[in-house]
Amino acid sequence: MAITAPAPRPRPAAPPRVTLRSRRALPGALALAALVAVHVAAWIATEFSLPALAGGYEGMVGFMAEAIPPELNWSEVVLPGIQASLVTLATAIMGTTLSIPFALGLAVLAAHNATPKVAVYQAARSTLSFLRAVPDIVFALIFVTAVGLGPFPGVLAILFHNVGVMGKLWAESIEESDPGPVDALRTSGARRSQLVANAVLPAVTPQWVGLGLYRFEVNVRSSLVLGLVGAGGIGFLINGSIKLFRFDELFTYILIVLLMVIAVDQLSAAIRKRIT
Amino acid sequence: MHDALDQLVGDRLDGQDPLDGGAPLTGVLERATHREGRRLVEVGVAQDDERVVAAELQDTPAIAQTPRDPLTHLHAAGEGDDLHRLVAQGRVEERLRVRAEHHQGVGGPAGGVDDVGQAVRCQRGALAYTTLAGALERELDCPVELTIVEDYSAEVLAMENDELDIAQFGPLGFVFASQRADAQPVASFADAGGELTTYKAGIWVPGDSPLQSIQQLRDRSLALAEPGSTSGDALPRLALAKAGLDPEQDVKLEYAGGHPEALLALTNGKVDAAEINTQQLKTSMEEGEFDPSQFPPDLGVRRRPQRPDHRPRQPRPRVQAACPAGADQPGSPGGRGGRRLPGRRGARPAGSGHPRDLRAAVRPRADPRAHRGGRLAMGVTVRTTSAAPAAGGGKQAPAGDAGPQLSIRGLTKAFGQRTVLRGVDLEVRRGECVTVLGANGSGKSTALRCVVGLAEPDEGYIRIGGRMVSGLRGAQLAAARREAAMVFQQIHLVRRRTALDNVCCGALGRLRGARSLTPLAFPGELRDEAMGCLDRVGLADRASDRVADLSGGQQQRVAVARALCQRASIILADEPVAALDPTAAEQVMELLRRLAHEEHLAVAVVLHQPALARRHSDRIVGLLGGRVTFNRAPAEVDDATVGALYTYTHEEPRVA
Ligand SMILES: Nc1ncnc2c1ncn2[C@@H]1O[C@H](COP(=O)(O)OP(=O)(O)O)[C@@H](O)[C@H]1O
Ligand SMILES: [Mg+2]
Repeated sequence: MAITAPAPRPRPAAPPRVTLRSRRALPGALALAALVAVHVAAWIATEFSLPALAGGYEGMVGFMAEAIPPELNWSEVVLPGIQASLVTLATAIMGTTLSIPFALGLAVLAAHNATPKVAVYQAARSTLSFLRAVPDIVFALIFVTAVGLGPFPGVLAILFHNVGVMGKLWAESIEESDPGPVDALRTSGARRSQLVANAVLPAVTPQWVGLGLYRFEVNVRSSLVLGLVGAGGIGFLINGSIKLFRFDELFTYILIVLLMVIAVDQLSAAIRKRIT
Repeated sequence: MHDALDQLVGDRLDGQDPLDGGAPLTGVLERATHREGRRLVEVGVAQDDERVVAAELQDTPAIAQTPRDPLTHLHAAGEGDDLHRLVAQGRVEERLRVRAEHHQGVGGPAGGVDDVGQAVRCQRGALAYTTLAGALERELDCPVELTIVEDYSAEVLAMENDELDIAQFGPLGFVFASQRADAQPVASFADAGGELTTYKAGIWVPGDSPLQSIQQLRDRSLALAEPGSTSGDALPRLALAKAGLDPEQDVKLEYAGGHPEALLALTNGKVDAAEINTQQLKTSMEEGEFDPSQFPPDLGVRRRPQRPDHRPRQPRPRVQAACPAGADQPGSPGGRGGRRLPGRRGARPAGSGHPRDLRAAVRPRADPRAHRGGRLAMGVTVRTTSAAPAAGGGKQAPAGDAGPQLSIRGLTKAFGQRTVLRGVDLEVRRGECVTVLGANGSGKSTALRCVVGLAEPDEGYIRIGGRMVSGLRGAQLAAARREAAMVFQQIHLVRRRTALDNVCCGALGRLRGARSLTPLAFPGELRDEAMGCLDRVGLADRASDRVADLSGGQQQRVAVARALCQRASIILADEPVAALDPTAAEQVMELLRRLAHEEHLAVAVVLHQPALARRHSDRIVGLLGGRVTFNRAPAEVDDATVGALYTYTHEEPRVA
């Protein structure tokens, strides 16, 4: 026969809602149970105990009492603290900025919609995973053996680790970007590099700037940690004040870090606002 | 900060020479401590650390298996059973908590967890702790909870707040533990012979170094381990002070992060001198990381051979400050589901009557075509319509314009199981504006995407400018594809770039090299041409505006300008006005029609508004379920014909 009109169908009576819901509910319940089980196990593994925390408040009060008032001796604590925090900041700036070209290249190769070949994609992904898996502190140790002590190995450590993290974030934002403009240029005969440069990158730039600034904030904090392995900066002073139980100095350093982190946050918020 | 440290260590070592020969610090500094309750327990062995806590530890097989390191033997101390006594007196909490620093291992030259590639040594250090905890457990007959931490500060704080009973400390950690938590020494580690273990701090320089004494370290760089380390920080600093140097001012101190790092800094030539304690020395030699022959003789080690290119071969007195230390350790696509059902839209608005009436009207006309070879033969219809492209009154095709600029035949396409196109035929001539109507999902976009190469047809062929696309390869294929440009409903411009930059990008297919990678480098001629294209769509005055700042209709015209800049002879527009208000839609359609009639391009437009189609096209093609159902001049397309396209709620029409 030719074209038939669909007969006005009678409304189906009482749809089988219950079975449908239970069929969907079962995996959900299982997932919930698994989630709860994982957290119970983690609770036990970490010896999490609120009573212990409450009972031990005296110790914390004592700690705070030692930290307050902060040691504000200008020439011995505050000035060195500020100088060291500038080193920390400089380390983060250098590490983040220098990682941009590498992160960019790897991000493009590691985005399935921009990579030229599956093999290249896999290689880029693996490289990024490796760079992420190695903690920046380990990179710092490796580079200390190569370039000696000081902030320079810290810069290299942040650079390498940041390529891994930022490259992955950037690759993901490429993969999530609208394929439309790329398709449009592809139909005009543009080649891969042209597509990446003229459609992909302009589209992801705002996200990339946001992610890059976020990474910079994180790297400021990472370079605090790197101070602990000889990369200098305020992390080194913090570690020293802990080892010598000078909590009043520690508090001063933390205040300096706080100011620095707030300043970086404000700056990146301002930049982000202008870019988008 | 370090003044405090120097002061502290200086007080402790007062009267002793930190450089070689001083009395071992072990007695004072290397202890395990015990606390009970809030108060520190006086275990009575504080003065006599030669006594035994757990004598049988020496015979523990686990320890005997680590002959490389006699330090892991726990030396006996105390009256034998002080800890027993504590348990008997009920002064020990039920669960004894032991913590040990990982950095300052109990006696194994354990690296901290941050030592790269020293897992073996870490385990060995941990083994010592485990053995210690096991022995305590047996001795005291009470559960012992062992935690290994990286740094003494946390231990001291926990002990200070009664959260820790027994801890193992290096010398400096113990100084703080005794100051802050009233920690008392209980036991020390000893070697296999029962001798209290100790080791020495040392400052090393390369064998060819001109430095011969501590004083000469002035203005030189010295690698230390980390702040607070006994042999890696405190003792070397003390040695500097004793040599009349201010550690802060006169020497460039560099904290490497740990003993191995300090040693590496020296062996890699990054510093003039470094602290290396006897344990780090021993471990590194065992691991083959350090060849003492490269460095001046110290502690009985041979002198290194001189490098030929350096100073004369000559035995050199070493700059060696050896100081006894206690125990600080070395080493330490597809989301289309949201679409409206086909047929919902269009049927009511278009229809004056019932859907069924419309269908009845369509059937007789559609059927004969459908039965002819299973496919509508468009050629016939095309001839009739293209004979009169003068609807717009534009330029005529130049002589010799043999066939249609775009010709699709028998186009078939399936996505998985779902067949989307079932033999579509379509021809578009230069100077002709064809519109395609069809419900959502009828395959309009897929057909256009096949033409521009965004989809691969399964069957059928596509001719562009008379050339079969399927037979072309490489540059020729690219050239043929460039003849067809696509304009999308979603516009697909780069919104953050200017209109002009976007239009320039249409030319990327014929642009090569680095200059094509950024608008900043686009050649001037291209910019001129793009400007001309913008002018043709009436937007020359908005050339330098960002696309995002333009209205929807303007954006779509920029997209058309980009297609022009591609120098395409075929423009395929997929619902270009679906998101535009009626005025803008009218403008865009007028533009497309003008491009066909005045600029002699072949234009195919997918539309959802029959009225627009009638007004602006030379021919209307109906697509239903992947087949062409009609293909004729607007005048011949009545409401019923159009309505039939949107009637069915099934994507696939029931065609016999
Ligand atoms: N890439 C794809 N993968 C799977 N199915 C697709 C794909 N593209 C289109 N389709 C399906 O093909 C059918 C026709 O789609 P399309 O050509 O976009 O229709 P139209 O443009 O006429 O609305 C739809 O059912 C759609 O879901
Ligand atoms: Mg479509």
